[in-house]
Amino acid sequence: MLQPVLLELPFLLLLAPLLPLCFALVANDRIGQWLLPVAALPALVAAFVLPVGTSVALPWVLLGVQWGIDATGQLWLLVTALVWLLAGLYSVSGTPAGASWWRFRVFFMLTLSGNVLLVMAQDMGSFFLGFALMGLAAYGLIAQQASVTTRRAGRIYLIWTVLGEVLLFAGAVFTAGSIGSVYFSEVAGKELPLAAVVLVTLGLGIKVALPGLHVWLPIAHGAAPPAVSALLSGVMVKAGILGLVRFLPAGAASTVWVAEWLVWLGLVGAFYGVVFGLRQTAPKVILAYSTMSQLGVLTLLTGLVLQAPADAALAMALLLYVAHHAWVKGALFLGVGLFKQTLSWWLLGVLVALALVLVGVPLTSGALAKDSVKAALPADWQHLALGLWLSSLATTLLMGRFVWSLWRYRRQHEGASSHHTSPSPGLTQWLGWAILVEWVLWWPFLFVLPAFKWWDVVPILLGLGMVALALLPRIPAGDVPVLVAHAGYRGWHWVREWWRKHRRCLSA
Amino acid sequence: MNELLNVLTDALGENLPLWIVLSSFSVGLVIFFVQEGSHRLRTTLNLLAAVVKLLLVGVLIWGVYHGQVYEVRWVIAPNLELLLHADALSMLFVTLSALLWLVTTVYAIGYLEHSPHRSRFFGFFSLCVSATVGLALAGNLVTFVMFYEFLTLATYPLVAHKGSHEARKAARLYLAYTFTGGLLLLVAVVWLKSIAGPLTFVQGGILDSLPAETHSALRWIFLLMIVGLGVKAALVPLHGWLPKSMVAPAPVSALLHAVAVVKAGAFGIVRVVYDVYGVEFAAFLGVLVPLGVVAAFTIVYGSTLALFQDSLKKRLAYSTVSQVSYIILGTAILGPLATVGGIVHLVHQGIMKITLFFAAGNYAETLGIHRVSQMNGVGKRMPLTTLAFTLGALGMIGIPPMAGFISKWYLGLGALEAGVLLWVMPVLIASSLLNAAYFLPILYRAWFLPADPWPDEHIKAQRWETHGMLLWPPVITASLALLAGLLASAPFSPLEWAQLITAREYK
Repeated sequence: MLQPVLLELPFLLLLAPLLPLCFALVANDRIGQWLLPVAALPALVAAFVLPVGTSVALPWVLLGVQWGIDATGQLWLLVTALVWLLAGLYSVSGTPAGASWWRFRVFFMLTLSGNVLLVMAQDMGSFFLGFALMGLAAYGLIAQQASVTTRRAGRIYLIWTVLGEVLLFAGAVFTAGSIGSVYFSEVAGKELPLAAVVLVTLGLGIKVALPGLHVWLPIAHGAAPPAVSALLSGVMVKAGILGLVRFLPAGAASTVWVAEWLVWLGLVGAFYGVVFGLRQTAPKVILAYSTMSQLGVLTLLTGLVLQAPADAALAMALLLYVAHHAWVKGALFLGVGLFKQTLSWWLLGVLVALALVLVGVPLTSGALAKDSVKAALPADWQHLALGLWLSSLATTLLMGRFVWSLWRYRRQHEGASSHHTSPSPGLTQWLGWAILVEWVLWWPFLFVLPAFKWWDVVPILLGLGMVALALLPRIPAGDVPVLVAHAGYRGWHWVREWWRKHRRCLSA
Repeated sequence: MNELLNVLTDALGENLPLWIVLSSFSVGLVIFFVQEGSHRLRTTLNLLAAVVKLLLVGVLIWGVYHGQVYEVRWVIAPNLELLLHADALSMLFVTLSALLWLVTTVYAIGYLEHSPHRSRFFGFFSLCVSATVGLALAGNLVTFVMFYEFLTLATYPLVAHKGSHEARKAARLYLAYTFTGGLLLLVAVVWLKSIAGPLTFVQGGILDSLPAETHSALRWIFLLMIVGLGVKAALVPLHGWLPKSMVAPAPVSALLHAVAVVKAGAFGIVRVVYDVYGVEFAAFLGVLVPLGVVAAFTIVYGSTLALFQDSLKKRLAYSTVSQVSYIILGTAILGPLATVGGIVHLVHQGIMKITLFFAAGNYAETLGIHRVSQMNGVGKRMPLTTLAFTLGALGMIGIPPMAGFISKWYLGLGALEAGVLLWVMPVLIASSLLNAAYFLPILYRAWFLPADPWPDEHIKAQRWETHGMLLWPPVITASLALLAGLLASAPFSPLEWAQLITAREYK
């Protein structure tokens, strides 16, 4: 009796955003902490079991609301729900107990609810509701620990978020008024006034950190706890990409005009993030700049998608890139959190591996995503391939800096480990992270991996070489001969010592 | 149930609007003579009157819904008659007043539990509501002006209630402002009457058939009326009395800002524009654009000044200055969608602002908190009150699913429809940002900062965080504000009602 009701499809659609809201009311810490991962389950199940095209209409709510799952939304929901689930699992034991624990959970649930809602939203009202809920509630996650740094970071985040929301509101009103409907299904094929497109783009551009609107991103990531950074970088910022795809009618003249700008801004952002990321020292801030740079690539892709309404390959490339970046960046942030607690060498090794995935070495999701992007580049944008090639090189350099910063962090903190107060990581922290890493390494094999091409690997090798050069120890004047002589002297010395020690044994 | 309502409608007959006005008026007069000590009698009378009024309004809605016409005429002199009449717009305002009056009465009983002069207070309180309901049901401009003046007088003792030097000064200022405003309004009405004859409110307006030579006079009359009504609606630069009258007790401020005085001014402007001039004729006269500019300026000005207030109630007062002008902005933009936005904000602003004032009163009465800077950590001590405050504040910013979002959405759509988005949207954006700038720091203090010792804790936390009669009113009104936004498209929501009114205002 109960089973058919539970499996009834719209029920899951309602449960996915609403269950977290109910969970927010649970004050009990011992129950509440386990609800963190459970809250994302309905969304994950919905992504797996609901067929594309499922939707539920709630005509009484807001301006008339429709939630559902379309082809884009399904994969997006899967990406989103998985990161939320594992970050929730990580947070079960990863957040300090105390009075603010419930507050953290409340904001976690609100943010989750908003994020799921905006993915499933098929009308502007509920998209904006989800967007606003997620954006504002995430403040509570970023300002989790009360300190001067987090307070400042939280304030800056909030100012930019509110600004973005207000601009998006203006854009949404403009869009809805122009097409005479709040439903996204009505957007396609319509023509929008340029101002509407620009307002929507600016509002969402803050979320996707367009160069100039990106100030909040590295600051917020630096201050937030690792799980929150993982969520912010992995899924929340991508709401901007989804919003652009949803709000703007692809192929319309005004959209195309803005979309061309998006392509160039994205390209600038891809390098901007690297240039300024390379001068950072904190591992999480470097990752944040990497997110900005990757968002640049995503913005570029979105710009292309918005110019070509019927290009399925391009849309798929965008989705693959979103999935690739969301999961690997989530795993990187969670891993940094664990590394800071343990300082262990093998963890550093795994992080290096993850960094290589992000860079896109063969047989990884990075290679898959980048190859699909390159294959899908439209004919008149082929020259972007060079930009992407250079961006691979730049990302490699930034990841080199990231690994260097971890190594530096370890060196600074290992001496102090005796009075280091950070507790050893809990079991769920390891579990959440391990599952994510496994998934990151495994999921590309669900697809046909691209054939190995030297051309794709060259920027990575070049980047690695440059990193190696930068990290080489000081070399004495006279370089190789002097080094050889030095090595020879060292070797001779070592042999002599050995001989002296063992002479007695040998002679005896 | 239906039969019962039928019987009731028949028994009350056409005079129902009169009964609605008298239900609180008569009780108000009786309460003056209740002994100060007979707490129970006064409370019973108060609640009884409020409940009876709400029920009568319910019957009225039911009757109007079923096509009954309610009109009470009383000819004072030839060519001068008082008229009470229920149309869609008055129903909206009457329902709002009756509902919020009940909630505020409960709140006021809890708030003034041990203070002196309660009979005087509740007497005038009831008169004040009678005046509000009367001007809501007024069927012509003369009746409206009569209740409008009556409201001025009934409110004066409420503002001065505490009897302190500051309170008396504020009340005198209030009287000076509103009396002058009332006088101008009266002059305007007499002038208009000499031109246009009986000034019955008709949906769509009554003046558009007047000959062209009267048009310049009509423009001057419009100006006089807007100045007269703008005093109560707190249009800048006529708003000076409002922040000062914050010395009044919290329930008075709540009622003043949500339904009674300020709203009466805004309601009057809506009436004048739509049912006297007719919005299309007003646009033809070219008087709407200046009105819109004043409203837009008031919106930004009020929000900007609110930023600098440390006193919580003053900050809310400036916020009212700003928010009430949304209604006027919606009125000043020609087009059905903007009208919907303006009219629906009449309700939305009321329930959101009353929530904020109830919460501010709770902080003052429970913990002695009067200033924003004293609010650190109050969320943990008074979670339900602070939650209600949070919902109200988010609504004021215009964040969904609160009611304020719906108002702003329709104002924006209306501006687009009328082709004035270019200057209206920046105003909406600026106001939202300013609202965020003065409300979010309060929420931050309340929820995120550790608590300081409370200035003056009167009521200890027991089962609930404060006295039940103080706690539930804001919780109820906050829920209403949430529901009005969340279920905006449901039948019988304020939004739907506003759409119904609007459909009748455009010829």
